[in-house]
Amino acid sequence: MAEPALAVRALEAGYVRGVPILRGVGFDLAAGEILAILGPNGAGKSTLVRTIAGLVPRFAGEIRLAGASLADLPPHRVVAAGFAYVPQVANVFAELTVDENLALGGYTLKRGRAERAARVFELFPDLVAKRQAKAGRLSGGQRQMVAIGRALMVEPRVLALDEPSAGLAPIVVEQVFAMIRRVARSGVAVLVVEQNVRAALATADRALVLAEGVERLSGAAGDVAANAAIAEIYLGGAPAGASP
Amino acid sequence: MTLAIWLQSILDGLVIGATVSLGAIGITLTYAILRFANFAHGEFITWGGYFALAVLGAVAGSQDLKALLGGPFEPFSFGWPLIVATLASILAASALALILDAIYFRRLRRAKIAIASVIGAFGAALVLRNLVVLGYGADPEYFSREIQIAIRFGPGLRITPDQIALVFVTALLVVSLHLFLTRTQMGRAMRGVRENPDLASVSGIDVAAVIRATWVIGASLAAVAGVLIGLTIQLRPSIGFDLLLPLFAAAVLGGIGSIYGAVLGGLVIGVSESLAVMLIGPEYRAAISFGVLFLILLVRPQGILGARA
Amino acid sequence: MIDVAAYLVFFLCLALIYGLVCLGLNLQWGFAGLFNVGVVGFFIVGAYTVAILASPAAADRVGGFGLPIPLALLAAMAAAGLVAFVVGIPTLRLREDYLAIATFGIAVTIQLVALNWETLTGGTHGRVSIPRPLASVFVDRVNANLFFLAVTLAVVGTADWALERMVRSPWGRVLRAIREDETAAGALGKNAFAYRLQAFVIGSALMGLGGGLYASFIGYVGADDALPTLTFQIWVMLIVGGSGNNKGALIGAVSVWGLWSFSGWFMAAVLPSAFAVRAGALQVILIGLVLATVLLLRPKGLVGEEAVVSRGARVE
Repeated sequence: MAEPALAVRALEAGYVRGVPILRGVGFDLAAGEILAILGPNGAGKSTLVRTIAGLVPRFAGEIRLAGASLADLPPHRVVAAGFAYVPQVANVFAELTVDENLALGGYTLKRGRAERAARVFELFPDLVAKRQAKAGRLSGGQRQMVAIGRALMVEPRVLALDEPSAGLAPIVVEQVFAMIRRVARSGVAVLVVEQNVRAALATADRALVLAEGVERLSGAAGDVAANAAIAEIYLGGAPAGASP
Repeated sequence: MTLAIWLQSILDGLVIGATVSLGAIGITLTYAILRFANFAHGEFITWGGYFALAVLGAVAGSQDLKALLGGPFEPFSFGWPLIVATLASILAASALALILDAIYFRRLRRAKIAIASVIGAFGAALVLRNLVVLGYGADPEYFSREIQIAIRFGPGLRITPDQIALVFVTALLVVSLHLFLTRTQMGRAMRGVRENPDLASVSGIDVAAVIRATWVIGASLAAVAGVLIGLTIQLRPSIGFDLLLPLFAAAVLGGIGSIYGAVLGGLVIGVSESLAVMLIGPEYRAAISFGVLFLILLVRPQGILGARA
Repeated sequence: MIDVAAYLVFFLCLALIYGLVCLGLNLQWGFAGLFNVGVVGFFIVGAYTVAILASPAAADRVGGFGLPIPLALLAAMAAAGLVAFVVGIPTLRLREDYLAIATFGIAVTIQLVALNWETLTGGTHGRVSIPRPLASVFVDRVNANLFFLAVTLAVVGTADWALERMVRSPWGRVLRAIREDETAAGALGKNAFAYRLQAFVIGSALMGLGGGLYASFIGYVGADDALPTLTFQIWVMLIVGGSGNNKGALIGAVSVWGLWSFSGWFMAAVLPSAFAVRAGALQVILIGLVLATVLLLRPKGLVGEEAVVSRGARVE
């Protein structure tokens, strides 16, 4: 069997030593697959992707990208290894032009930056007319395109998005998820952290539901959507045996 | 007073302002990227000047080097020796900045208390200045004892060839820095880190490398400023410390974080000082910077070209 | 032996005066998070105020009113507080570094005034014949110093007591809350700016009081006393002792002033007088290295921040 694009095992992480926010989380993600990370506020969803990105200290567990360990690499080395991350807010350089944003996305590339930028513009034709515009002046949807395009510049194996639907109008949310499906079809493994459970489950292949830093539910998106436990998790009900 | 005297005063102010601009760029860059007010920045100016003085001394002391490098380029007072000395001084000041960062400022930043960096810099400034006193004493030093003949032009204005060179060098450096920041990946990375360090790091930018580049650029421009001051005025161990207030005033006036603001701020400070010297005498020259600073903080704290407070 | 004791009294007078200044800085930085890089400016305003008000009249000089020292000291506090008020208004709403830059600027400006406004300050010659309290009673030098030490101790003790009460009061609690998180304190309806301005003015007034005592103790104040080195020394005292703790501030003042005095004496004894300028430079370098070492190895200082419990609050 082929190596998964991203494999996470028993991950513990947090901002303060001794106070783990993630308490043993694991999953596999294959190329071309979309995995939704769900869970109530404070479940550790963002911490999970930020830990993989190298922004939050890891206490224990493994992170492997196509077999190679990402653990404890600084963020810029994680990117170079093939993991691209789109933060939730402030995910573009507002004072830089669209072209400059893409150029910085491809910062680790030695050559071929122009070709990759051309591919991003193929994926997001709306941006072509805005190449010289400052990213801060774009609409919410266009800004999300720049953010995803910036991350795609390194042609990552794995793309992680933290709440790509946050603050967008419903129609734009639809467009953003269509973009994400297009990216996955090109063979990129996609990790989406979402509050918008419905939209995420409609788009994802599989889902992982976290609560209080541990896995509560996982499986095919359809199964998770059909599972009655999910409402309970969001409402904060703890099943028997779970530690607070 | 005649118009010529006013114009001459403005011209003198622009010449002084050019060196203030070079120093203020470093202050504003450090503030934008490392996020602290670097009270030690003036010392890169002092050390830059004295590094060059040391190299000039070595050249003057060696017959071989003197023969190799030759005499001054007429009508300037300097020749190849000063150019070599300036390049050496840029290297030495950059090395000094990188060493200070590696053994001192980087650790203070890790403490995540802004104060540690700022008061640490204030302490570093006094130590660095007194190291110069230790080496050279407190008396002024000169690159050249020759008096330059000023060129006369326009309605009775005077400027020395060295001052023309100073303005030219400053303009060249500012244009180069502009091209660097807009046309190179490292330049864009610096602008990226200024705006959002986390996003920069997840874009693959090595923030530590950007910080090193910031120190090198700031220290290099300061070293050139030190050489230019040594060339056109004189060197004293206190030049950097005395310039701190004008440098901060220029950076705040232009809008902290803005390179072009720092340049503009430097020129405004230079001209204000020069006019004030003419109107109220030289005693309160340094207070002019404070007056300008105070007014701008009162009226428009984000500065002339600054977007955000 | 007598000489050593006499010197110790002299030393303690100065150390406690700096300790008082350090207490002022501790209120500003340690409790309110305000970053004053112009300590010497407020100190010297207080010193000149006492010089002008308390000294006898002299030709070519403003002032010389011969006022009693306690009155002059109160005026010194008021003058330094007023300067702080004016500087604070535009800067205390901005990011902390702006206050640092502005206070640095006011200190430089005041230094220029000290140097150049001769009728007010005496310029490089300074102002002389500044009396001590009860100078006619304690004439003998040893007794005079002892009495002054008692006065200084009383002033520092009172200031320390008052500050302790202040930082433990609801006022002090709000101040610390603002230091930790301005948004949260703002949400509670506290006007952060007003609290900061109060802390800044009171702290600066204490610096002015320290300057006033200094002028009275030495009997002289001149432009040489207005150098930024003093700001640096006071900061080193606070950081070495531990900011956020009044005892730490005083311990820091005594130990750093001890180190400073000893190194000065040592170098004067060892180095020939031709090296006086360089010896002074070495002294600053030494203190700078002490600061760097403490910042790197023991950033909370020798004593560290005291857990302050406000009156009315319960300890869990």
